[in-house]
Amino acid sequence: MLSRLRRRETGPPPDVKSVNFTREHVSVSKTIARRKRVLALIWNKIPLIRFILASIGLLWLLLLPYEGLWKGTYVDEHALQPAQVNTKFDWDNVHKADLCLGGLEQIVDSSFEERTAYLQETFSQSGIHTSNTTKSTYAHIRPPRSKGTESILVSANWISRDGTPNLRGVATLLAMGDFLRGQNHWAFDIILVVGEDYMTGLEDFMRNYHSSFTGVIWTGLNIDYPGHSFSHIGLFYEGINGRLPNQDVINTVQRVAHFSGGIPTRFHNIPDEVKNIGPEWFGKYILAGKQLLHHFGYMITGKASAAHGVLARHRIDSLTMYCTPSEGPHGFHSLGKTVESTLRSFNNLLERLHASYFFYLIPKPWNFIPIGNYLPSAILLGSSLTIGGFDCSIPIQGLFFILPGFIFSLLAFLFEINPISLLIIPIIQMKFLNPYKLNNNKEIRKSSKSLLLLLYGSIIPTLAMLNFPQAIFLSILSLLYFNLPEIPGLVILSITQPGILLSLLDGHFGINLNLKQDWIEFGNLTWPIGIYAIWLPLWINSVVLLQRIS
Amino acid sequence: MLLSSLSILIFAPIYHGLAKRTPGKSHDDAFYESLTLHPLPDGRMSVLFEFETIFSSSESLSSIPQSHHSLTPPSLLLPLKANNVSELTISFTSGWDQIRSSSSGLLNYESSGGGGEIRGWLKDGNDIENRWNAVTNALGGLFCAGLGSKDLGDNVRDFGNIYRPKLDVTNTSHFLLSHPESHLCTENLTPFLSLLPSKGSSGISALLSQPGIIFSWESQSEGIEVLMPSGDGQGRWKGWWEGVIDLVPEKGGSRRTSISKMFNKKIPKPFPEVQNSVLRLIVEDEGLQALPSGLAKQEWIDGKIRKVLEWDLQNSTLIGGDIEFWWDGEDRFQYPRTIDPPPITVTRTVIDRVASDGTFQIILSNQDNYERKAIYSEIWPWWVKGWMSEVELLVGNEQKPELLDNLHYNPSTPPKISTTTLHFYLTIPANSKLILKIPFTKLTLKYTEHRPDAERGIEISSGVLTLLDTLPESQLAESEIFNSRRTGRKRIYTNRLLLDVPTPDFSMPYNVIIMSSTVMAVFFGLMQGALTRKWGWVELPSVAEKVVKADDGKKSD
Repeated sequence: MLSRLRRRETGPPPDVKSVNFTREHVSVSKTIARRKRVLALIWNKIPLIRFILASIGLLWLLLLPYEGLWKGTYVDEHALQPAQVNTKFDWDNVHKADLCLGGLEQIVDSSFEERTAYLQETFSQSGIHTSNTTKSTYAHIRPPRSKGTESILVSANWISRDGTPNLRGVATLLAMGDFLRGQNHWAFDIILVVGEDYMTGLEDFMRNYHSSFTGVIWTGLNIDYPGHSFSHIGLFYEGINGRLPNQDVINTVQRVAHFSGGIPTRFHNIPDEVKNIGPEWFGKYILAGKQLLHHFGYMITGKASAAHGVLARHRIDSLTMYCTPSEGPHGFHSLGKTVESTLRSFNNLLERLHASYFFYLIPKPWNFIPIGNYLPSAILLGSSLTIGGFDCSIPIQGLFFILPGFIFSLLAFLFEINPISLLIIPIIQMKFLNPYKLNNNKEIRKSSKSLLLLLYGSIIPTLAMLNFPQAIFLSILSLLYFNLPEIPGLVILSITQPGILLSLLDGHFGINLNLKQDWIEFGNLTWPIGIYAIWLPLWINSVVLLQRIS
Repeated sequence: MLLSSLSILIFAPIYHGLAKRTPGKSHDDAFYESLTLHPLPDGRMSVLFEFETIFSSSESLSSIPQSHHSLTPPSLLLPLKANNVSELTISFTSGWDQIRSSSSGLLNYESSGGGGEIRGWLKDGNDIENRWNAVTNALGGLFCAGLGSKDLGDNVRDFGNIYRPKLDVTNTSHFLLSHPESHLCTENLTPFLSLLPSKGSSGISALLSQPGIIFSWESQSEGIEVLMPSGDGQGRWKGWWEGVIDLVPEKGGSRRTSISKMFNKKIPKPFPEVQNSVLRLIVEDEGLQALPSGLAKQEWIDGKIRKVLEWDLQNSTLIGGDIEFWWDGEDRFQYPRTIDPPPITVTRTVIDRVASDGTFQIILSNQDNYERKAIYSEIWPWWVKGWMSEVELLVGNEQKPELLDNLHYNPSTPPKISTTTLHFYLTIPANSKLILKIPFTKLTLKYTEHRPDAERGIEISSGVLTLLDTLPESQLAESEIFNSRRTGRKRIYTNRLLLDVPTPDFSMPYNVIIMSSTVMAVFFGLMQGALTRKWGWVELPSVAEKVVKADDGKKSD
């Protein structure tokens, strides 16, 4: 078959006097000619190919809330065995929690010193070693048969997500301390932490952890229980820098809450009820879209969705159990059972949670979108950019053209200049830093744009592995910046100037987004890398490229 | 005739026992046992079983090597004798909480730090390493635990200064093999009991032969120490089992307890061959009462004079009975808010943790008013590489390099499996915290060197602080009641550490294989193509020229 195909190509006999003096020469020359034709065809259609790739990518993105791309959750690490134990947390422990709550209510408005004194007194009455850092109080339970090499962290911070005191969360923690002492079926040390404020106390504890503890923390739980009763457990799982816990942690807590505690779970505290708008599939689609948008919001900014987020930087798989305030029916009893049973599951682990279960999107409780079903969208968007960058005739000159944007952003970061001040950089760059009139040369402009396309086209799929929503955000920005004509382009660019956008989002529209503070306090890399190293250079160069040739 | 020989067989132990009690017979074995109870400040109680057997050398009896012992099992002694071992200690320990016990280690001073450990002195001669391997493997089999080395390089040879010989035998070499990953489990109890003459059926060993109770204890430690006889002298082997019981009920209450409450058994009938079987209670505070009361004594134990109550368990009035312990007027035990720390504590943590590096931070705190001299020793696997030029010694925030008197550093030689050992000769100033910081890098392990459950990380052996200025406990000076130097505890151990090691994703080997094979194939294909291709000059047909021209034309537009 193959040989017949080959024979057909041989064509006219070779002319011994020409360059192609053998049959092989003739066939090779034909092959080369055909290859060139095909390449030329593709080369001419590149804008179309880019358009098709970007459209499929966007379409894929819009399809994510559709059920066909989802899978049902399962527990991958068999050792976890969620909800397979008889819980021992009982009404006398609830009574203890109530007593602690009474004590806590008296010291709501006191100073940290008074609070930590009360907490340490309560912990030490239960026979647990307890102490404090400058912003947190901790207790270290060493069960008889634990080797002390591995630990589980349970925290309840003083301030809840709501901004109100998390008294019942702390009371649960105190009661757990009393409850867990002396039980001999634990293989892990258990560390209980009450952090000051919403997150800073826990971050302070984690920064001091390794100088006083030997155990390695593998898993963690943060309890947030602001109301007097609760109806659901809202699971918040996004950590700082968009690091997600291993999905087994979420699946375990969800199963334990459902089967041991009898508590329904939600994600991000969004009610899991399909609204009656249009057909049923549309309502489901909208609900899943809402879930994903909330998730995208946390992931794009790299902000932790709740206080457990500070643990992410320390390689601890953790989440926050937020007890949705309500008139009932749940309280200390079901929460205590859920926490106990979850800890028992974590206690079964022989090694860190490690299967590649870190990459997922959750559109609906009990469902998830595996990486293979969402990643292509980012890859397609990224490749649409990359392909546009192949035509780069004079890369060195192009590099000189785009470099100032990166250098100015770096300087701005080093000297702590607000990104809003960088508005003037493109103008300075065009007016004063343009001795060779580089911007007037069409060839240089084209090459520099190609370089940018190549750079951002390669960043996007790489970033998509770590933080898919950020990659999608960056690819949509880049597509807009590089493809829009001058007038709408400038409008979009001025709206999305990172400095302007961030100052709008800080304290307006009910959003409090202070990325700089997040970077200083908790190490959110979106500020130095996301804003200064990626977004600002892109923005400056896009403005420069859009400017009319004078 | 048959009947009489049968009767001899049946009564043999009794005849033998009677014979033994008469003094003057040098070739007889003797057996001692004791059970020590020591209440700890936070409502717990240390329990230590000790079994000691004296045996004599039987070599002089015949020219053919043979072993005649009535109380010591040959399975223990034969491998030691065959391999010319002089002393040997095996210990398994699960750890110790220095913070909440006012004591810097277990009651038994010979227990090692966390994990399993086998150490001993071998008489010099041919094949010493092979003999050591034979001993470790034989005893590992005896204890149902992997005590042997995975590689010759795992053996540590320079800890002779730390574990000095107890026998006065010259020309011996020290070996140590540490297994920080091992832990005490049910399988270790049965072989331990089978080594004892009483086999767990009589005497205090009957209290020990209850895995359901024993293994719920805290800070357990098991071990044996064998001193082989030299010439026709006497040998001695000692076995111990230690643990900590929580006396406070799970829901709170008083610490009141008794032998039958702790062990779920009454005081057992004594082992007929035993020389001495005692129960000892170390009384720390005056409120502690016991009924029936024992014989009170003063004894110097671990840096302090302590009151000890003793009961002779061979006493027929106690057998089948019970002894109760309670604290006067205690209705509900109140946990103390603070617990006095022991005079010297050692903690070791890893700070500045990143995937590839870290820093060992060892805090040595001395509560006493006088400075102490000590050696701090570490054993590292080959993949832990210390930055020895960056070792820091601090008191508070102040650098104190002068407190390091000497340093013995024996580096490993990777990639061969070997260990790094370090001995810091230190002065620990009075009333201070000495901080030793050793930065290190984790080298990458070959994928075959990862343990099962690779993502768990790998344990590092306990660090050992050897105190150089201790005084014997027995020399009781009249005026003193407290002197932390006067103790038999020469070594204080840190906890074990679990280090995360860079681990390949073993959970998806198939993907990894596909990925790496593809990269290899593409690379090979490129190279193969370039090397085998024939290079030449070809003229393209006119159609192609047209396209190329058209393309060029577009570009120049």
